Amino acid sequence: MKLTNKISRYFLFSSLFLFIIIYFGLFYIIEQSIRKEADAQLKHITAKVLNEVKMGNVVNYPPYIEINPINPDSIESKKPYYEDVLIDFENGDDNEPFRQRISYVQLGDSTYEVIARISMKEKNSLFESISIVIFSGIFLFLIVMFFINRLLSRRIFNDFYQTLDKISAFSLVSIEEIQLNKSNIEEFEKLNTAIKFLANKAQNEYKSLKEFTEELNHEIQTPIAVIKAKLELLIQNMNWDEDDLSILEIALRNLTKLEKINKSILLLNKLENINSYEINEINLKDEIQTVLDFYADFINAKDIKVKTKETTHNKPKFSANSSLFNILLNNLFSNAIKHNVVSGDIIIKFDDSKQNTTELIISNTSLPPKNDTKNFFKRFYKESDSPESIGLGLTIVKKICEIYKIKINNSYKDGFYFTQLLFPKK
Amino acid sequence: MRLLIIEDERELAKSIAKYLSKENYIIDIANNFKEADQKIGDNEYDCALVDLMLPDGNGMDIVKVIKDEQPVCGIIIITAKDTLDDKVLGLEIGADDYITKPFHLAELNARLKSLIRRRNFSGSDEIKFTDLTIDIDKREVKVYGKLVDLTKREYDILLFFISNKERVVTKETIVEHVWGDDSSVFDNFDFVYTHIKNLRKKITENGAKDYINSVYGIGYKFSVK
Repeated sequence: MKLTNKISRYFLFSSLFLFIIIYFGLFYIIEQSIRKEADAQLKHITAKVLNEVKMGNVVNYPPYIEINPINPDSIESKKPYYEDVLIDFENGDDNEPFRQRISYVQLGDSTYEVIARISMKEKNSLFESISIVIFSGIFLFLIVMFFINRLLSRRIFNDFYQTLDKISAFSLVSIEEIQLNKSNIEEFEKLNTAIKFLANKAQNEYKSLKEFTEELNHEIQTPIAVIKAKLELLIQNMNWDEDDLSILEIALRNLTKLEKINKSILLLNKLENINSYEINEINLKDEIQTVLDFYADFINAKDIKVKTKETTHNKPKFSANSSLFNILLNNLFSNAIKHNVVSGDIIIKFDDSKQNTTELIISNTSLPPKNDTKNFFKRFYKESDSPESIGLGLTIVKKICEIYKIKINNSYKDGFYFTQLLFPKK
Repeated sequence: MRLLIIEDERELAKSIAKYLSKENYIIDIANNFKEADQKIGDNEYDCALVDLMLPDGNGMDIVKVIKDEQPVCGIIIITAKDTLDDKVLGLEIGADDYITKPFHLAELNARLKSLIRRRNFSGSDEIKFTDLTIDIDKREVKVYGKLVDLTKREYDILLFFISNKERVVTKETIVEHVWGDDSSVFDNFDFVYTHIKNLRKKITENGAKDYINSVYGIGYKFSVK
């Protein structure tokens, strides 16, 4: 819900509440004063009538004045009283409201009740008018609120929405500073200042972290190179026994791992600067075949059968940097080989029939994963116990997919691990 | 053969020199730009290894100096940066090859030998190793003059072995050399064994000695001893 809407909702509810109170209050007050006025008049009229009666004149103007003899025993007290009644005096269908005063008078031996009445018909129409005024007021108020709301959103909140758009479009990676429009509203200007400060700080922190990682990566390369060279010189010594050789082998293997981690992080960092990569047109099938040829020995070593299923004989194409795309496929296929079972399968499925996407599914036989396959994309996540896995391959894959807006999903079903890639069509 | 190693990391330069010492090269080491410049002025080199990152200058400039003063000298650049730009630029200004840090000494040696052969210092496209003759141009291997039918992989492995003869090379180094850097994602190099077994069989069948010795757990040594 928009802020202006929220504010006006409160406004609306509280003013409706006020209107209702005013409405009933007005009713009550007006009714009271009308009644008071009517009662005073009735008293006055009764007195005048009684005077006439005492002078011997006959006074009877139903329904306004009625004088009836009554049995004094039928009444409890002779005190005059007022009441509201409805009388159908014209034999019509409508009963008309009246205010009446009943008083008692003793004339000779007989007791009479004197009823004086005033029509209250006008009171109802007065209330109708009040209602009309009040409800028109509410209606007008609603209309005014609606336009004030629109004005607020358009004018006053305009600065706010502009800032919001800028924040949404803000990128940590970008070297450009966030540019916010000046606002003549104090709160928004304060907000802009705070956001600018925060954005610049975030960008600087990010930049320095990135630079630090890059420097670290480069600095690490030299000592690794020295250790590697020294270990390789060491193994040239032919006097080692098997235990020594195994120690050297483990040291070398772990050094390689360190080297790989370093290279992968370097690559991940580089992927951030996507603008610097040239775009080539890639033929998906040819590219996959190249990767499969490259890994042929590894595939044969595990006696893996590669099958291709396709719904199309077209050659689906995709635009991306060919080196990055090669890294993407290399990572996916090396995983499909590494985590495969002996004499397993790799099935490559193409579906070009969808309108907006080309679907590629790479599936391979594999043991059931221990954890949710979604975790595979996490940095440094390792599913296998293999000491050589560094857990960055799929992180790199995901990053490359993000760059080229390729949707990637993975799952495991019935002994097969699936990787689904959806390539956007132009 | 006179070789100049331009590398600011002294220990690395020493290791390279030690590894290459079996080759009977005359090896000079320069640890910075100034030393390198001076040595290039003083001596004639057949080959130079140039680290692009030097404390007192850019290795690219050294490449230019060598190209100007000693155009016959072969140049391999060593780069710590794994960026394509540096490699391309290095090759454009006249380097013959590049290698990325950290590298295997055996790999550097193989690159160096290949460069020396390409520059044809020995005046022949053939490599002779006791009873084996390898024709580099035709990629043919002969045992006592008889052609041995090797696959591409087997040929590459044999050539790599001969470049690093009398040295232990690890399985990983062989895989990275023959199958490329990307193959190092695999942790199982057992398939190398199959290729080497076939290679060994094809050579010995034709009457050559078995020069390929297994070194427990680590790799192989191609040796006449």
